[in-house]
Amino acid sequence: MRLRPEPDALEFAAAVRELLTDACDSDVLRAAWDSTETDPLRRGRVPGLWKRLADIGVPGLTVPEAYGGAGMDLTAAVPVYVEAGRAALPEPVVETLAGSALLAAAGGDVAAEWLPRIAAGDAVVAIGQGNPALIGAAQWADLLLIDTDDAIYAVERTAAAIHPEPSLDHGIGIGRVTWQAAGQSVLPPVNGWDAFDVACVAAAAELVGLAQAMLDMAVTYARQREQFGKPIGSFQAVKHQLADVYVANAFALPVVYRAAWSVAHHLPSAPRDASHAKLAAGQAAERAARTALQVHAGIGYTYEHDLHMWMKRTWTLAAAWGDATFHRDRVAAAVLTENPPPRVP
Amino acid sequence: MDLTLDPAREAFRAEVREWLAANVPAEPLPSLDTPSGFAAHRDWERRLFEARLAVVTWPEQYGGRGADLLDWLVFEEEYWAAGAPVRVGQNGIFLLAPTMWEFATETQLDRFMLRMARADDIWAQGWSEPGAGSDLAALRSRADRDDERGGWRVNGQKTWSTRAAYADWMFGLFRTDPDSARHHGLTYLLLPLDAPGVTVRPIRQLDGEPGFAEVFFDDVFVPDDQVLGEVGQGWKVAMSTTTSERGLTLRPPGRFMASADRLVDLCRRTSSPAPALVDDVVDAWLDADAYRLYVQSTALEALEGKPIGAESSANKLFWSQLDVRIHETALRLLGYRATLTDDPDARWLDGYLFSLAGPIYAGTNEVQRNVVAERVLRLPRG
Repeated sequence: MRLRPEPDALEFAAAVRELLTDACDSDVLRAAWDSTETDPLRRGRVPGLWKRLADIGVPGLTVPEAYGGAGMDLTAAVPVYVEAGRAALPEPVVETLAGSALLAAAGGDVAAEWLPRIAAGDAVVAIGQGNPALIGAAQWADLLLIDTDDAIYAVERTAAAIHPEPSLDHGIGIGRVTWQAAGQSVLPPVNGWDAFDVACVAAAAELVGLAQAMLDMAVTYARQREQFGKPIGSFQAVKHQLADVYVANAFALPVVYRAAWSVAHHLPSAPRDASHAKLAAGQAAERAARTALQVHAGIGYTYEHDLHMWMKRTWTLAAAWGDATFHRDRVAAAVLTENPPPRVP
Repeated sequence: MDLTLDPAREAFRAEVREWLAANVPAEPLPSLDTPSGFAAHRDWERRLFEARLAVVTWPEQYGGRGADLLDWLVFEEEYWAAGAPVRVGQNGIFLLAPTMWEFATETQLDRFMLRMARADDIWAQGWSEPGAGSDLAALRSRADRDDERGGWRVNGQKTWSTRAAYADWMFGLFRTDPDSARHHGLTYLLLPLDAPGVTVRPIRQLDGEPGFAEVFFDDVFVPDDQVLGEVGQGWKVAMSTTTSERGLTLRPPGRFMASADRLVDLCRRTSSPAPALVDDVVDAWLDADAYRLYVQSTALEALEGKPIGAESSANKLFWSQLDVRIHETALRLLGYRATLTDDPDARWLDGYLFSLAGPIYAGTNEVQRNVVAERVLRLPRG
């Protein structure tokens, strides 16, 4: 038994971290957030970064080898997504993982046409529900996978009206998508909830990374900032809040790892485990955001300090892919039932 | 990642499950804080020992199976799921034993371990004193050198000593250097509670039972062969295991998984529970599961040789809060019945009172938060 990713997956995540430390530091991030770019395809993103990430294999990580990906399973993606969160990366990370999982499961012409391009970082996929649909990364998407009551449609950007929605989170690329079902490709029948669970795991991993980054910021600040002649980090009132953030986050990570395993292996507990991951990581990250703000106090409440970008990513990501109430209800249905699926492992 | 349990562990699980199904008493044993209950629990420990299930992680020569931490977690899951009795010997087998493996001489191991495994000796803890609680290093009970007899004369007082009302032996820290201060000059001693000069005064706990005691020492002689580790190094001896596997073994996840499953069962038996209560049931169940994963993950890393450090403080914070929440939620589900001591569900009330001690014993949660903040997050000391 081994409750964390294989060493090669951790090494890959370390390489991603190195790249992001260099190519997506907080100055780069701020520039992306404050960019006056008018083309929605580029607005909010870091120029050229997605292609660089593709060159080392990020978007293709879990894409099957037959479609030009590395064919790793979801457990290998978790540490990479933690790094995306740590950097508050303003790129379509969750959408890529969930969208490519959906395409790979469905197979057929759409998968054959799009998956290699997605893996290569040449095309962006977004994923959503309904019509009109509010979809994250829709502004940047070349292909939209949209679930409806009767089928999952593959809608090309050119066939949809994408209205960019301004968001507090400049790194979300969210848009309102209006489209016509007639004339669109339909994916071969596949359970859309499987891709939703993948998205939950990806978002949860990202939230763990966001929480770690905000905890680090708050701890660093608490060591430096002096009041009453001492670093504020020496006061128990501050220490105890930060300790609680550490604990919540430390306990969320194994839950996210386990969910990746359950989802990757299509276990009966996969939906419950994915919801648990999203719930635990979302709550840990929201606690980290709230505490980091309190520890930074006045300066944390400004736009000029970096913290706000991580907080805002946290808020939108915690609300996306099912918020805490949604996931708690979903778990309740899977726990309070007559024969709940067994715990894993 | 690989979350499959290998066949040898599954076979062990099956053996434990089968044995417990055949042997766990159908009626719960009387409270171990009564003389007859204590004796009944001691008998139960002996049956576990005969089945070589009392101390599965110990070496075979002392009654164990040489099982690793992961097997131990499996054992505990089965143990709690079966509703088996509370372990009356737990101070010794889970808290003292890891320290013994690290610091005891062969002679001491031969003298104490088999008797501990068989529950011939039940051990009490001797840490807190009236003036030394969270600030353990303020302890003043002293042991003065007696060269003539080759040992130490102990004077002073310990308090909140769990199980001491009926226990046979005590382990704890005493000041052997009268000129020392704080963490220096302390020595870890093992002493029998029936030695001349020892007075044990049981203290009734919140539930009215004598779950702990205060212990007075009046010129109690402790021979040199009952010193654990080096004289003057008591703090190091005591602390080495608070951050090793002991941090994991204090409260195994199986305990909370069983409670969480019973909570879900109670919720399902409750007619139209309020949605907010169902939310809390779900959160408790999930947190018990999260606790299990965290402990498994820490245990796996320990098996690979990574030392367990302040994880044990994070651990303690998590389980102690979880335990309170599980029981609070159960009491809310029971509503007006919650405080009835003869109710068929009164076990929740007992469990609730016990859970309230969790954030206090084994280092208060405030101290644990300081440990996490200072040793993990490297925040400056106050």
